[in-house]
Amino acid sequence: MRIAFAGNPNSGKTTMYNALTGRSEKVGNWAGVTIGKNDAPLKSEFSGGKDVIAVDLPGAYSMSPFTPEEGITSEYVREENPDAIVNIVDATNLSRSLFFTTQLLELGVPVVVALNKSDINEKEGTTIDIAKLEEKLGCPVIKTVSTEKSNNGLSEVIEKAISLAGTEQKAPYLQADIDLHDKAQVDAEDRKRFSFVNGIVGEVETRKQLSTEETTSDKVDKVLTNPVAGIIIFAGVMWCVFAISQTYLGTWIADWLVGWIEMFQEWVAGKLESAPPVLQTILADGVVGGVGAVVGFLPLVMVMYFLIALLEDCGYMARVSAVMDPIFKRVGLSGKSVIPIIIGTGCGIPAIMGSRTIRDERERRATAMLTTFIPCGAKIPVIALFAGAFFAGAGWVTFVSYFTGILLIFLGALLVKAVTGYKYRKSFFIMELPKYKAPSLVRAFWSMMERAKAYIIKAATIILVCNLVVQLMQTYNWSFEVVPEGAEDTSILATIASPFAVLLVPLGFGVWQLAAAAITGFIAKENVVGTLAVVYGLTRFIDVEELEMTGGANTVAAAMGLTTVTALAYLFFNLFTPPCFAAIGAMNSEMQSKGWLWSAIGLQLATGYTVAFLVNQIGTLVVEGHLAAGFLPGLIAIAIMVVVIVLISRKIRAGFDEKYELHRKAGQAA
Amino acid sequence: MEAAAKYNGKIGLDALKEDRVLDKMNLLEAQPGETYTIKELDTEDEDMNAFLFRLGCYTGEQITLISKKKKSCIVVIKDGRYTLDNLLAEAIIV
Amino acid sequence: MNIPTLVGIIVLAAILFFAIRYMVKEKKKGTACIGCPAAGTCEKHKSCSGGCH
Repeated sequence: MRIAFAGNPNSGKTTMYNALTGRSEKVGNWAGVTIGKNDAPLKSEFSGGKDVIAVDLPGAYSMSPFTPEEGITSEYVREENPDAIVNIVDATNLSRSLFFTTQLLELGVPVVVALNKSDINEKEGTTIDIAKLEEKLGCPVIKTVSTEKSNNGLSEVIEKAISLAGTEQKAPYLQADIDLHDKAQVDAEDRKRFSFVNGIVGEVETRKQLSTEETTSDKVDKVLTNPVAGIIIFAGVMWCVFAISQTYLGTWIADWLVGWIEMFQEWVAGKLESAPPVLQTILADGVVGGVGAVVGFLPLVMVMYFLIALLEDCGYMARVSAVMDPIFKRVGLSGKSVIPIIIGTGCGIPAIMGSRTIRDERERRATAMLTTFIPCGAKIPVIALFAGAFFAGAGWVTFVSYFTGILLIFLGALLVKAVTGYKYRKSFFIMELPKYKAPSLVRAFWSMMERAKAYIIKAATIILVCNLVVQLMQTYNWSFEVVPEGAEDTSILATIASPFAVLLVPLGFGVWQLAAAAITGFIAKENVVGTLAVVYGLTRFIDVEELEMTGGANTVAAAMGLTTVTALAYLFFNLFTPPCFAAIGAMNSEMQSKGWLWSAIGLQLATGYTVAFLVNQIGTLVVEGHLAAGFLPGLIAIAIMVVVIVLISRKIRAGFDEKYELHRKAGQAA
Repeated sequence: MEAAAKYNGKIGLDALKEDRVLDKMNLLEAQPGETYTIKELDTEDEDMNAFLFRLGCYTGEQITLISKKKKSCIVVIKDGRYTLDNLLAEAIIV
Repeated sequence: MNIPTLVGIIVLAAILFFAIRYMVKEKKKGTACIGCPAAGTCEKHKSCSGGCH
């Protein structure tokens, strides 16, 4: 048996679905969090031992889709014949929600209305006459509070839905037989439907506080969406998130954790003293060291996930969208691009998929293309490693990394705008401002734990295997003999990575070890840290004390042989080159255009290269008074990239001019 | 005398109100805190019009302007709050 | 071959076995991106079609 969950955006479908199935799909307090269909069996306490699958659908305002994710919902309820529909209705906005309800009631599938967010109504003194609403709609209506742990009405909803499954639903309002292609008829029909809904709402709802009155939340909104104050506040909030997770709290916990990991590594090495050295290095350095280096940064990532979850839960995201819209519009994106970017601080894949809610195709693709410039959770270990090893754990490295990411998004967007040329369609911005709510610490905690678990699994599988492969490739040469000491350059890894290292000379880090680490980073960005740990035999990356003792040149910095300038260049190279393969896959499926995909990869490669080149050359010029090695070849490489971009732009614009001309002529003729 | 002045004032105010009713203006020119009836709505984008319709934003319905910014405004449609950019606000005639 | 070596080899083999088995199992289930923090949202939409290895 399948029960579909449908309703307006941000009415709490996924929260209810998670409570009923025990899953942990992404939730957030803004419209359009869920962008695809999710399904899972109900927990047995709800299903009563029956085989019931709950299907969570993206929010929709009606059966006729406006955005792609709305289409998923209407298609599912229409084509897939669920056995029952639970229509989640935002009780605080009955007059809008019931429009979709009446459409669902027409399908013939039994509907149970879950009047969600009933707790807010109680607070605001709004009462809804349930019995009357049931009678008017001809279906059961049950008050729910899906954020509540108990006494939330969920089991009643499910019980009703299961008992009604298979019966025939009668519609209180049937659409007249009209020609659906005739706009005027459809319009008139929809008006009739709305007035039917208005009639019901007028009879069942009594409000103490009119929704048009100015509330405290409106006063808060005035500040948060103020073009000046709002942006300053947003910058401050994000700075706090990064500082707490990556400079203060997160680093303290990490420091402690790394000590334990190092002790464990020494213990393993000690136990293996009598074993062959190859086995010893593989286990102690490759497995424990490499994975440990990545896991050591887990606290930073966890603290950040926790804070981001709080932000997503309180309703602030929609305000950020609103305040950033004018700025983003100027560079050819939309305010809706902000949400993917913030999600992108956690992981690039949901960020890329989140761009789906952007209606304009060019804006959507540009967002998917550029959102990964913001460093994701997997890049945090890389940032923290370099901040710790070369900049004494300075917080400004983190800040500069994120700031450069945002800057690159703006510049990239301008470039995309310049390359793709004119815009025909006006780009409107409308976003619902959800009610503020105190973020749930418990939910944020579990969201953090869920992602921490995923992080550990990733470290223990992909990253472990990668480290092992790197270790083996470094230990053996092409005739599968152990590489003798002093001849490290003959190892398999060195010979494969060396040609790439040559390309990186103008960037200041043309050694095969660093090239190898950057390459493994495409599998997963944490691999950069893992591989560096393996090739240089290091683990203790977060180590401020040691740095103080050795006066600036700690073991990590010394082993890598990078100056502060080249270290920054290498960090930026890893941050702003294409993301991991998984994220590239996500880009592919979101963009649905090979041309855009390859342009995105090309742009990201070019950006990473150019940024690292500029940092290295300018930095060296400032610090040492001369340009760094390989200035000319690097400049030539960048010149070639520029020429390619100009050529692509020409080609696109030539096509555009023709089309534009046709457009204009057609307009004149008519 | 005093009563007459009051009377006159009232007439003046009423006349002004009537003026506003007859005069169409877009949402950008409207007063924050006031509720208006939508007279016309055309974004020149059929899908967008249909989308606004489903939110409850169509001619004959009420819309309340909560606040105005340089490039955007906040409105109440039905019982939901939305932020609109100026482009959209211009297309809503009240 | 002494005991630590033997234990070391067994542990290494076991870790590898479980890691690879987990990855293969996830791949078969259709999770293109193992351990991705967004695993829940991404697996069903075949978004990580590029694969993670």
